[in-house]
Amino acid sequence: MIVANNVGLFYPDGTEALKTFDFHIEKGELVFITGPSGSGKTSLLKLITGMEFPTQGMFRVLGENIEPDNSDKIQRIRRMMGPVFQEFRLLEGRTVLENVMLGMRFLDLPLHVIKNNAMESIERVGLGHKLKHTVDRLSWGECQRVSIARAVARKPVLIIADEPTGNLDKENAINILDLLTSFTDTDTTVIITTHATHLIEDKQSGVFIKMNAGEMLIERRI
Amino acid sequence: MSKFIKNSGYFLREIKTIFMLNKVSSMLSLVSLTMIFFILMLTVSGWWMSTRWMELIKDEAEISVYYVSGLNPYALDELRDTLGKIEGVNAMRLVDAEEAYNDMEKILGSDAKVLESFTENPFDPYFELSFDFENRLNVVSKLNGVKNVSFVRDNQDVLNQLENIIDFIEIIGIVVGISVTITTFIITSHIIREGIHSNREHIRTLRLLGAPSWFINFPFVVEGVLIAGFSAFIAGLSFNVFSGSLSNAFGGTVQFLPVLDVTSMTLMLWASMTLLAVALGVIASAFGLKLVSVKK
Ligand SMILES: Nc1ncnc2c1ncn2[C@@H]1O[C@H](COP(=O)(O)OP(=O)(O)OP(=O)(O)O)[C@@H](O)[C@H]1O
Ligand SMILES: [Mg+2]
Repeated sequence: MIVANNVGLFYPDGTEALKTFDFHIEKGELVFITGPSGSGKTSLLKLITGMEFPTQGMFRVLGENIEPDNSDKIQRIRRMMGPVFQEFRLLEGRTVLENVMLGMRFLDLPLHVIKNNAMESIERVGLGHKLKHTVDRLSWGECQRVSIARAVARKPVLIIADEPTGNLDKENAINILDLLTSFTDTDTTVIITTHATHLIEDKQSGVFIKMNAGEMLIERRI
Repeated sequence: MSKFIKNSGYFLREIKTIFMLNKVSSMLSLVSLTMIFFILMLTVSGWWMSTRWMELIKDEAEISVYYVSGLNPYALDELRDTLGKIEGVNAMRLVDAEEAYNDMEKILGSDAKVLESFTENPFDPYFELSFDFENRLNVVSKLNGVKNVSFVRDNQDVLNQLENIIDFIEIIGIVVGISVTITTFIITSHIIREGIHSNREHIRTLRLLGAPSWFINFPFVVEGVLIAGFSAFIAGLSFNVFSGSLSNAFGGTVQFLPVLDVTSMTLMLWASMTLLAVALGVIASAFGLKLVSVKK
């Protein structure tokens, strides 16, 4: 599913965001990435979504190389992912429903399926009563939940969530984590970054990546 | 295609949302494009009218050919024949002494009393020729060589001046026309590009979700086409209202200029400007999208 071979990432200004690493993540695995602010969590996710290219080594996601002249293929694999961005990236001026549906409009799904999937996942993040609200008027926590609904509604094979619980109270945070992790039952790979280590300490299985200043410590619990 | 139809409702809403989210700048684009297209139409029609006037004036230019007095009818016929055969002479008419007198009376108006002091008609008959304007030096020199021709009045000075004016207007027309067209193109594409630029985060988000380019671009291209096309349409509408009075005013102030029928010209201009604007909208949007497109 994801294979990293001797991968490193420098930003153009010389920041070494990710020190050389190797790993592989399999289908249906649950991955938690933790670490202090600035340790490189988002940078790792940006490699996975093709927002950054490795400056060293080979990085493969869903069978495609993440490299500059592969943009059509990267675009194709993005359609199989459910990304939750740290800054949400909702489309202002559109309703909750429209934002969630937008993630599916260009997929091979009939319109009624798109709408049903959207309503179902909006319901699951607890925003069923705000379907027709424009996202501009929502709180941060609500925006976060809309972006999660958008990611899961398209039934992706890979969910990548950057701080999905960052703006939520404990109850909502547990709820969202449960929702995201539940997708591993259907063989979806789920990758989550979080500061909230207390929420995942009790997890019995999964891949735990601890990051510190661009370095990774990988632990697999089975 | 099916994905396109499936999303047609979405595209319509999206076009409206994009417009409403950038309401102020979209309205400003609309207004400034309308003005630009208005100026372009003004330029084109100004050029059209002046060339048309020049054509008319050229057609009215005449050469008068006087002949030695006392020619017998046979020699007069022969002269008529010879003049008619000269290359560049289009039509010819014999103006007899009486008509020449009446013409002068008309020109002098209230001063025509002067003519009464003549006991005899002081005017000579002559041939009035219309001719190929471009060929006129040739025509005049040939006329001068014809037997029995006593004097050729060709208004050389006036004609030369006229020709200079025509050349001048042609050059001005081309220069102004080209620069206004280029300006229109640059401003149109810049305005549309600005609109797309202000939506670059939106475009980037769609890309990150894996949306194909056609899906992302379509509403923006339509937006650009609508803004440009609608501007040209409004400009054409106001221009049509305005042009009638303009041409009348022109024809009225400058005595010798005939009033031109500009209706069909302005309608043509309206249609072609709108089409041009639509094409510009497509090109400028494509151009704008290329500039903001994010590869990563
Ligand atoms: N585009 C960029 N150009 C240069 N440096 C960058 C860029 N993006 C991130 N960085 C730097 O790379 C390092 C890792 O950043 P990253 O965003 O991956 O951290 P993070 O672990 O996600 O932090 P946080 O928990 O605050 O979200 C930081 O030092 C950051 O300043
Ligand atoms: Mg981050």
